[in-house]
Amino acid sequence: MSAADAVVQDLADDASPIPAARAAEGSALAWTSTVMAVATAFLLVFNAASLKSWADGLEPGPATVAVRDAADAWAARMQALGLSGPRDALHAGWKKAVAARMDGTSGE
Amino acid sequence: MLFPTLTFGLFFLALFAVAWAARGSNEWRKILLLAASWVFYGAWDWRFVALLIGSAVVNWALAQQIAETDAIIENKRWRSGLLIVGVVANLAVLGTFKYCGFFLEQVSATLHALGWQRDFPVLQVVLPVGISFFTFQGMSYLIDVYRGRTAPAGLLDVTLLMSFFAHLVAGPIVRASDLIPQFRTVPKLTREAAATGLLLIAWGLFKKAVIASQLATGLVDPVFFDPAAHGAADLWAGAYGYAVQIYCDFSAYSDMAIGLAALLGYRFPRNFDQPYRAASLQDFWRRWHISLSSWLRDYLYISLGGNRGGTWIACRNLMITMLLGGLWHGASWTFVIWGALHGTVLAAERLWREFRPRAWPTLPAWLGVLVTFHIVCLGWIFFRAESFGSAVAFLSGLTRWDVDPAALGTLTVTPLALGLSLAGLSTQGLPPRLVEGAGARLARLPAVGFGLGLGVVMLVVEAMRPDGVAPFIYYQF
Repeated sequence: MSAADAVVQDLADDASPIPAARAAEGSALAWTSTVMAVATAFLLVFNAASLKSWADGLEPGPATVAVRDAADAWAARMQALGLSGPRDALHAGWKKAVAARMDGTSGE
Repeated sequence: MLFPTLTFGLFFLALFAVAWAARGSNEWRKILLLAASWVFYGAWDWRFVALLIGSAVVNWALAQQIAETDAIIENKRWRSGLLIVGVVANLAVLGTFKYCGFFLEQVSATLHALGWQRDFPVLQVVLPVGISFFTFQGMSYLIDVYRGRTAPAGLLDVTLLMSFFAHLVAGPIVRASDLIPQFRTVPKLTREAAATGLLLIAWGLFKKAVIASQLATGLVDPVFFDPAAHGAADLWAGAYGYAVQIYCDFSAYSDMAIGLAALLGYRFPRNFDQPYRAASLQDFWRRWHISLSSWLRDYLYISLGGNRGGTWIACRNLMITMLLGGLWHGASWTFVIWGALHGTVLAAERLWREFRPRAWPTLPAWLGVLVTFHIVCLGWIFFRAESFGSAVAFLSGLTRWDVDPAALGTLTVTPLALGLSLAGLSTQGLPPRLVEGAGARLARLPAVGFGLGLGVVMLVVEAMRPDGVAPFIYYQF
């Protein structure tokens, strides 16, 4: 068989964790976009500390100053509203677990 | 640009929007994906984007030549010559960047040992990220076209195959026959594929940012940095911890790569399948880094003759394949020893299957799993150690049981590290295909409900991850 006659097949069904699409679903793109938008908005509100931390790590420059100021202001507002509380509590608990030693003491 | 960062998150959100907005034209969509992939790769070093493009063009041009040359007897030599030129060119790129310094070091050491005192130039070659992956991808395309297993593709498709950001730097090594047919039309997105993709991304993020990162910084790095300074308890915990870390780190990258590609409409092959539940080393290699092991099988082991020459030839071929597989990971004797260990045990398993007296009982499955896991852990000690001496110091320390019960607080291993190691290992006992099954069920949820659930999971991961994120282990290969 020459290369030009080669039979090329798509990935077998069981070879990938992603199911093969048998037909296009008109609503799938809207559904996926909504999922991603809702998750992003949720994290923007409840995980503003990560946004602030990311902005603080940007290379200094005229454009990044504005981004950093906006991220700082947003994080401060979410904290004032108490919306960063769940993340802060989880993070504090995690830090405590990280510091715990085998004899039951805290390494801090 | 690392997957588990906000910078990559913003990059991907923008690309997702633009790629699906351009779905009216498949060609423009692929050009956009290609440009985005170069931006992604160029974030490390722009100079190596040219290397990536050059590699794709050479492989495409040679494959075209091979395909245009009819496979009649007079042309066979010409076709073989083209293939050899392509394979040598790919290996030369890999050799220059990856092995040149190592080779000169060995030559210099040998000449010094023979009394020839000449200093060789010290080469400080910067290793392009993911070079082992994209050169193997290029070679497999070329060989598949030569063997008639893949039809030759256009320049855009070949370049995108080799440059696609999702698999570019750490795999899976996606074959042309798996991906290029998917490039022919605008892909279809389904809720089930998107839900599974999003779950794989969240699961990968948890494994990398929480389990692998914490095990690395809290246990594995300090123990492997100076094994002589640690007792047996820390070293055993470090060895098991590294087995969990490398699995969670590497499988996390593969999960995220598969998930990201799925959100853009493409399907990548499975790269891990609960490898630590393997009951033999042969079984392990069917579950660990599947795209590399199948690559080595198809293009190296079979090319060497595979099983065709009888048992002893098959054992020799297994040994050569695993030694070269070890060297693929890096120019270091520790990787050679890792490959030799795997080759030896694979050959021994083969001989055992062939010559085992029929009256002898077979190993119970649970014992097979236990033995295989510990052989794999032994290999990981060489794989992770900075040097051969460091690996030997690590192994000799495994019997240094001098733990003072009053000084448990001075151990490097912590309850959290133990818990994360156990959690990582327990993932091997979960029902197979759990994420896929969950994806199918969750795809029926309303988008807002699924989005909120995903947000909660990501928030928990964010709260547990350390500041900053270390590169994936396989970026260095």
